[in-house]
Amino acid sequence: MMKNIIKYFICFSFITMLTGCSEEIELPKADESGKIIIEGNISDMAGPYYVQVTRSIKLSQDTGYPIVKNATVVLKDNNGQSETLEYENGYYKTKNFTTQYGNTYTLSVTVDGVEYTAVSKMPKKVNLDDVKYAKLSDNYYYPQPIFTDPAEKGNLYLFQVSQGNGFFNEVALLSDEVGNGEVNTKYLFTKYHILKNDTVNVEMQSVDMPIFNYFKALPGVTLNGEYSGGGVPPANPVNNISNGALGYFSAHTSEKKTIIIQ
Amino acid sequence: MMKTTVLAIFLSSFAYAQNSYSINGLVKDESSGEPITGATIKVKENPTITIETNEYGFYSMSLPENDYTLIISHSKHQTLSKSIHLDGTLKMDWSLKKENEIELVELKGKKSPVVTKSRSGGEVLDVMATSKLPVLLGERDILKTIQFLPGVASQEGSSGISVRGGNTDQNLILLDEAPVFNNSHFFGFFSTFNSDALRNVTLYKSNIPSQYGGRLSSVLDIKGKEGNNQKFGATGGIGLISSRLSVEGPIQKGKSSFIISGRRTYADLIYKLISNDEKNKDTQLFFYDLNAKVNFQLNPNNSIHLSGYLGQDKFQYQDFKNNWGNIASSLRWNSIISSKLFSNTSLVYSNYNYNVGIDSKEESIEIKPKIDNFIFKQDFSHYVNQKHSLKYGLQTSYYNFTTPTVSGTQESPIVSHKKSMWENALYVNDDYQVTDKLLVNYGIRATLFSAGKGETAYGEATEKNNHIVFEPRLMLNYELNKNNIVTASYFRTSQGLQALSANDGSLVNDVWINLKKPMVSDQISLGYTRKFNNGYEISTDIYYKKMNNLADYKEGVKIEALQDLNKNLLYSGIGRAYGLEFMAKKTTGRLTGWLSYTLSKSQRKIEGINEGNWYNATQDKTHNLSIVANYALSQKWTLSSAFVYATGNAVTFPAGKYVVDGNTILQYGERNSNRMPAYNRLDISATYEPQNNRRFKSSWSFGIYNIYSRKNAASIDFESNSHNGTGIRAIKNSMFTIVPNVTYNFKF
Repeated sequence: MMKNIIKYFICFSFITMLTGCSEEIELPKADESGKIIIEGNISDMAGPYYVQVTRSIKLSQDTGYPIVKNATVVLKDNNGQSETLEYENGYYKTKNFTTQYGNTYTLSVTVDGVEYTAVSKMPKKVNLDDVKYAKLSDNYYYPQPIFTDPAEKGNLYLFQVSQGNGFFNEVALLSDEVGNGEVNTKYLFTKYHILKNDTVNVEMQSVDMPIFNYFKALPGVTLNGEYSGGGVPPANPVNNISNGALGYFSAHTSEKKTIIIQ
Repeated sequence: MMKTTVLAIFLSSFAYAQNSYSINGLVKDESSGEPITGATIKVKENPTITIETNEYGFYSMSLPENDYTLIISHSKHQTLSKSIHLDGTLKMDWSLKKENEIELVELKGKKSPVVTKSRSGGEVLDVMATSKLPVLLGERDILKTIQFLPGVASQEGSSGISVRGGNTDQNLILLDEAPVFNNSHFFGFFSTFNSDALRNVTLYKSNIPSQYGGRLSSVLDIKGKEGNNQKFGATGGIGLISSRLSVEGPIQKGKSSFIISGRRTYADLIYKLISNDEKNKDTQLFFYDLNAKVNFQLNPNNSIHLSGYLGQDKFQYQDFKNNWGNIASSLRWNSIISSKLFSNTSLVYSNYNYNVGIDSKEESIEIKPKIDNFIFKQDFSHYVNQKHSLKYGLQTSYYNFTTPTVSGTQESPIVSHKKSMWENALYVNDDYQVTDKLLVNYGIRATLFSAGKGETAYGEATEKNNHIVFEPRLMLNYELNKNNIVTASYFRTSQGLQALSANDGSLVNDVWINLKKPMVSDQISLGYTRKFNNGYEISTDIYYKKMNNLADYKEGVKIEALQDLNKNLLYSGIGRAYGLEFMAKKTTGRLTGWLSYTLSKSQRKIEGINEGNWYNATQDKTHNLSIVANYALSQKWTLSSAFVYATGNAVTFPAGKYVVDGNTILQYGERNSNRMPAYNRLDISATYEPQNNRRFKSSWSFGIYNIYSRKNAASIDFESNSHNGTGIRAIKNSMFTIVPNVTYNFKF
């Protein structure tokens, strides 16, 4: 929003038409590529669960993201369950690991002698009863997940919204800061414009606070993401992984529904 | 014999008992009746005595009974001298003639825009004289002129200034004693100050006398015109995007006067005319402001001054709106209590509020943060004797902060959150002429910050709510000889409130809140000035400043203005800034102007940001150069130009990329370790003043901003390369390339 306003303003206010121009320049030279990136998800669905370990690359680089194949990846819970994940086709994969609501999970990834650990707690399940939708502006539709927020405060929800053919995949967040304990009436505002006849998949996840905050901050550093603005210099989102690795490890619930906009 | 002895004894004892008598009065401009600040009064028979008029044009001095010749001078007025016989308290008011009115024949009488230094170390700008300097779209603007001074850094398109490495919210901007919280119009392209309404502008950055307090970096003391108490007059201008008009005149001739000045932009009206897009018909984009002042002379010793400023910006585009406004008002009572004691009592109310919202089918949201400030101030100027003149007084200031917060209910999601703060201060300082070469100004200010009743300051309820800060201030000014002056100063300042999200002077409004603990800054500086005979002068200053209790937003989290700001802030930051300032100026002749250069560093350190390491402040500019020149071509034509070069702002650019959930994410490294491209620009302007009749004066000014059309970077965005799905490209956005302007000004 703000970005558009600024752009608009730049174009507009100088009706002299002598101002406001954009041009491509050289990419900045600063390079801190080679950082470890961890993406790990476990859920209340049956395994296997996957963890991906990659490295960041230079801004100017166009060849894919290097996958780290020689990492030692261990998953544990607070009941003594522990499993070393095996590498297969770009992912580290569990075999027997099981999950339970309310348990705390620890992921340990060791690369070249450096250990990165992450802790995530799987919240209690909140059922996704239904997904409705409404046409809110012009011709665009927005999904409305129907669920009853539990009475106790602090429930956090992450929605993965995607189109049937995988054309887009977006994250939307809801919390009970407004409307605690009530049936949800909020919409999922996707940037992608959902149109009539689209098939939309909605996955509802109950997540813990660090994951919620991570995904809240992520669009601010996503390429073509939202304008972070406001004079705060951009920074890597605070995550739940130690030792400076980027990415996240999330233990969450999962329930999916598919709707067709009619 | 006996008689002679008795007479001798009598005479000598008389000599010892000889009384000192006070001379005091007001110094005014002859044609308008405006008080003259900073006029110096010298005594021919005793060259060690130099007295300066205060901000209300008042002076006072004591001398033994004798015959004297007093010489009064001021840079913009003709020098005047009078012989007196002093044998009792003498009230003596002066009326000075403007310099250029009596020197029409000679070119050297043209006003020079050069900044002069006041006795207390402030930099004084002549508002009228700066009117010929080139400015964007012809809107003359004292804040833009101040940006040409050493130690002052700014960003294009912003009225926010960073003084000696401080943040943009650390400058106390006073308009007739009332603080102005947001000094910008049009998202910062213009300042709130209409030059037609101003009399005098003083910037304090290397020595802040103890009568000022409440901000860390600097004080910009702006005095509005009092209004002509001799005759009616009007001043105005018609420009490309705005017009302005001031009317002034006597209410009672020579005793009371008024002035009203207004200004409005009309860019949006023109836009609507040329725009075909139906959607844009509701677009609003304008600002207006209004300055009004009334003065009453109750009797020779008492006068009342009422001053008000009201400014409003309106911006509406489709379903988005952003309106903001300032009020700065004061009621003052000036009283000459005795020949040696001058009093100023002020009641002040200031307000800054804004209203930003979106009203669409998808969402409808409106937030209205504001700050209210009520001040009572009592100031005394006490001329004790030839060597000492004291200033002392007290100030009590009450702030109300309203910030929006999430309510927790779906019906009315946003509620206002109120906080308040008291800022009470006592101060004293002594202007002590130790010898004829050494002048010392020393003083102290004690400030007590308290969270308002029933409210804790930001932070935990258990935390201390009262903080007292003792702020010593000291300035030494030593004249080695007439042409070589050394100055040294140390001062401490404190600040109990902060504007969030305005630190880079970006287009987003700022929210003022009070702090958990007041910020404190200590600064030392050392300066040397050398004057040359032919109007040249060079001066240099070095400074070191440290700051404590700075607060900043947390790093790597999404900042939501609607959340409790406390959750998003980190406290106990420290800052350091140091630099070298250099200024060379030429004050007389056809060519006048100055060159200002600053070499500086400004850094911050806060636990939780940049891994707790020092990082560059956004305003950190290594090099900052300005050259301002004014050339009187003929009696009718004046040419001006300004050149600016500055290191780009410290920014954080991505230093890598990676993928999460299939999206490309930018990886960031050390905070503010990158630089925007260096900034440079040359502006020129020409002013044509036809010789009209005595009553009506007009002028045309033509200017070109950024004449070589340099595309200076306003922002750099990173986006995906459209030619190649995986690539990233950097896009530089620039605001102003070449912009011409023409303005017609008149005065009668």
